[in-house]
Parts: sequence; C-alpha cells; structure tokens
Amino acid sequence: MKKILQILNLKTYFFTADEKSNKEIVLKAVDDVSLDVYEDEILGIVGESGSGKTVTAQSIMQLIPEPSGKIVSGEIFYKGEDILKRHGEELRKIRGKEIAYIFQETYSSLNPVLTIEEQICEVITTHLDKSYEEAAEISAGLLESMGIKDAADRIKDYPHQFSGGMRQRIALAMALAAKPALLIADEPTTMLDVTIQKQILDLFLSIKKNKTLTSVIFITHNLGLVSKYCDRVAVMYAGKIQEISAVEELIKSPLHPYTKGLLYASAFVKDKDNKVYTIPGNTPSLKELPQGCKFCNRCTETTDNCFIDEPPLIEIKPNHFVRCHLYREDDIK
Amino acid sequence: MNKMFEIKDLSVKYSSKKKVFGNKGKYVNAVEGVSFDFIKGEVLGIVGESGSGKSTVSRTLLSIIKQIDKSSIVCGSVLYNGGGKSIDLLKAKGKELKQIRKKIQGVFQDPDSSMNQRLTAGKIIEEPLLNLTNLNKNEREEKIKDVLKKCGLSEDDINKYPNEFSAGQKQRICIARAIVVEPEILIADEPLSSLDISIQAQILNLFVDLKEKYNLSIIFITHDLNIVKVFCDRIIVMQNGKIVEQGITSEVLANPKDEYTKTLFTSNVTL
Repeated sequence: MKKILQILNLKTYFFTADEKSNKEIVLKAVDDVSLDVYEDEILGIVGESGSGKTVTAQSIMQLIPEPSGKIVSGEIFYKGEDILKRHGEELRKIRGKEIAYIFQETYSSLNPVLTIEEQICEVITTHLDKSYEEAAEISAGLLESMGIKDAADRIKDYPHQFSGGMRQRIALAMALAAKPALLIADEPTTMLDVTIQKQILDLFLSIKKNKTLTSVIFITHNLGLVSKYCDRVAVMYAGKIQEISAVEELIKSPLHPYTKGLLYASAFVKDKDNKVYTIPGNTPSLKELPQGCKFCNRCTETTDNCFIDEPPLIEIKPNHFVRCHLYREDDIK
Repeated sequence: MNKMFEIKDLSVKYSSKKKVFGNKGKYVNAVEGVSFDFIKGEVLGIVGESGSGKSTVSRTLLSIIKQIDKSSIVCGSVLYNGGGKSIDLLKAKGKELKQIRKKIQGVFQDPDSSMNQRLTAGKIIEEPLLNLTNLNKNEREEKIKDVLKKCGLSEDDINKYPNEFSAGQKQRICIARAIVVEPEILIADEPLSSLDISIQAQILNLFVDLKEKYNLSIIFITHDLNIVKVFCDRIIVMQNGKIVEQGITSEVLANPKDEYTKTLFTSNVTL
C-alpha cells in the first residue's frame, strides 16, 4: 500500500511559565510521534483529552499557535514532500487543496457574517480555476450531495440558520470543495446527537467509497465509533503513540494495558459489586508526567522497570505496534 | 410502590422573543403533555436528542425553570410526595420551596459553569448548607469533610480552588454539593458527557456508591444508551417535547416499539 502521509519523529511542544516560580515549563504535547497514513484508509486516532491527538493533527496543517507552541523537530511527508518546510503562499496551496480539516466546533469554523455560498465558493475560487458563478453551482451540488434539502435556496442562508448537524454537513462540504486527497476530521461528531452522528459518519463512508477522498484521519475518543468506521487505529496517551494496529485486531486482542482499560471502561462492563470497570487515577497533566512509561502510575501490570525506562514502540505482531515493557521483541510473531 | 413524583400533563413554554411595549411575546413549546411517575429508590433514565425537552423536564423538577426564563409558562402538575405530604412543585413558594430544595438536588453537565471559580471547594459545598439548613460552623465543616471523603476527594481539598482540580474531580465537587444536604432525589443532567471515558466510569461508580449510602432515587438524563443499559432501572424516551416510549430498561432495549426509539438504538454504537 502506498503512503499518502508519513509523520516522522514529530515533536510539538508548548512553552509556558510556572505560576509560582515563574520558571519556563515545556509541555510535550506531541513527543516523538511517527505515523503513516496509507492510501484508501480511515485511520483513527484515539485518546483522552491532553493525549496529543489534536495537536498532532494541527501540526500536519501547521496550525500550532506560535509563539506559545512550536513544532520543535520532525518531518511530515505528504506524497513524498516534507510539508513542514512549506510556508506562506506555498503552504496555502496544501491547506484545503490537498489536505482539508474539519473541526469539532462548527460555530467557530464557519464565519457567522458570510452566507454559506460565499464561504464554500471562497474555497473553490481560491484553489480551483473557476469563476464565482461556476463555484456557486458546484457548491449547491455539494450541499445537495451532503443531504441538505433545497440546497439551491438554502445556500443563501447564514450559519446560524442551520442546526448543528447541518452545520457539520456544511463544514464537510466546504472541506471537500477543493477535492482534497486527505481529510482530517477532529472529533467531527462529538457535539452531535447519536442519530445525527450516524448520518454524518455514514456520509464519510460513502464519500470514501466513491473515491472523492483518498484517506481520512479520524480523531475521536469514542472507541465504539472507531471500531465501526476505521481501518486502522492509533492509541495516544500523554503525547505518545502507545499502540497502533488494524481495528479488528486492536479490539479483539489489545496489548497495551491502557488500551485494554479504555476498551473495558467504554464498554461499561459491570462486575459482581455492581460497579463498572474503571482505569484508576486521573488523566495526566502534561506538567507532571512520570518518568519511565507515561502510564505507569495508573497501570495495574507494572514491573520495576516501568518506573525507570520508557519502553520503545515495537512491532509485536505484523503491523501491530505497542509501547510496553510487558512485550519484548523476542516474543515477536 | 412509593411514588416520589407524579407528573401529569406537564407542558413548558419558553418565551422566544422579549415583550416590547405590550406586544405579545412568542413562545416555543419545549415540553408538551408529559406524564410519568418516579418511584422511590429507582434510577430513571431520560434519553432523547438535543431539543427533545429532557433538560427542561429536569429544570422543572428542580424548580429552577423561572430562574432560567422568567416569562416561561409551566402548566400541569408535578406532585412531590415527601415527608408524608403531597406538594405541587409548580405552586410551591418561599419556605415550602426551600424545604423541597433540600430534598431535591441537581448535578449538571459542565462542572466549570456550575460553580463559582472564586470560591474554594469548601465554600462551594457549604453554600447549600448555609441556605437550606441551620447547622453551625463546626457542624457544617464536619459535613463538608465527610462528604468530600464520600465523593472520593480528600479533606485537604477543602481549601483548594476549582482550577486546581481535574475535570473529574470538579464533577465530584458538584456531586458533593448536591448530596451534602442529604436529599432524597438527585437529578443528574448529562453529568458524564463532558468527561473523558476513563473518568466517566469512575463517576458512574460514584453514583452507584452514593445511591446506596444515601438511599437516593436518581433521575439520570443522558444521551448515552450504553450508560442507560448498566445504570437505569426504567427509561423514558423523549422526542420533540413528548414522551414516545417508557418502560423497564431491559424490555425497552430488547423490544423498542416506537420508530424513533428504534432509530435511536440503531444509531448507538457499541464495542
């Protein structure tokens, strides 16, 4: 399979000052992440808040707010070219045209004072060689295909005249307007009702099926959605990838204790005391990460080594990588 | 069966436009003709999509609907059977309402917006004690420390401010504030949806724990059917301000009758 995107040793850090001592603290939001996205796949990135999944995605688009945040090192190859070297006008040719991004918050991703038509047409006229009239026609067609009724009329409306689910469809139409090859969807359905969520995600699948898009990076914290919609999945925790494999494999035989915990916790399995399974402890603050394995203070299967050394990400089975001391390269395959 | 609430024909209209110079305001029907009973000791789940009126029902039961929209219109009757009396919540005022508030407490979705960021955790939890009980300072402090421990926090947390806590801990403080006056009924409006998955399960366990310790009856509003499945005894499905289906959770889940309930269930993804 061909790689469409290759992230190599990406480090995106945030710099802030400690409130009390006023010393500079470095928050390693994304710490040495390497990730491949293949053609014709939906890659899920799962993790809780603060795990670095959004920052990883924003790094691809160079949307990290400077100077507080910075891509410290690493390379991101898109179709063989390191796009982190692109800036300004060169970068704009990638953003929206080659790689598109949908945000969780549709309120903040649509401009409230422009009509939907103006916003979608802006994407088309910027990236494709089309007049406004042609663009308007394409936009209406796009909206129609997203399941918005009377698209030709409704396109003159403003964002606030649509419901949350509708706005997410519009955002999707806008993201697809310049025919990008890769779509990054950052929790696109978290704000929506389950019924609407299903409609939007089914829409994703159908778009991918008819080859409008090549690949999708789907960021979520919902493992149920991942199991239903993704081909491969990467589990992130504390800025690092902890496990990555094909979806069925990960659901059926998870290796990392954190992945296991997440699966149990999101299935709400009851034990004999009528309690559901929980991962002990809290989601970590990037300010106070433990030495060694980042999950060691919440893990139930620790050895002494876990508190000292950070385990590397190794391939335990074909295409199944895990970062955990419980597994060694000797047991491979 | 001991009915805590008997709700008959409850309708709530919110005013959508302000009255200007005697113009009649416009109203939106949020809840229309809802009737159901709430039985002592049960966990009743209310599910439905946004705009279905589930939060409006919870606000009515908490008697805060007029605080949210002064000119809202509430019709019907909400009988609360407590302390050997039946009281219509919609008509309760003054002292009587205060008595009721002590018995019915709420927990909301977003812990950040439901507490004053400038007060310490101790002060936040003390507030209902100050308003609804006659305890003296020492007694109050004792209660606060006790409830903090029961909610999985520590006594030392009493002097910390909300920003020093994680999201899950903040929700624990909100729960502590609700149960410190030892209510009979806890109304939880999407208390888990702003939390991370690993934390959701922890807070759910806290509810299970407290239900037993305080002998609570719980109304649990959520859109997550996976939670309903493990936590709720009975379930009410709402759509467009009306109840479309209600019954024992396992029965409704196994054999949904209403079309909307079916769509809701098929949209739900499980592992």
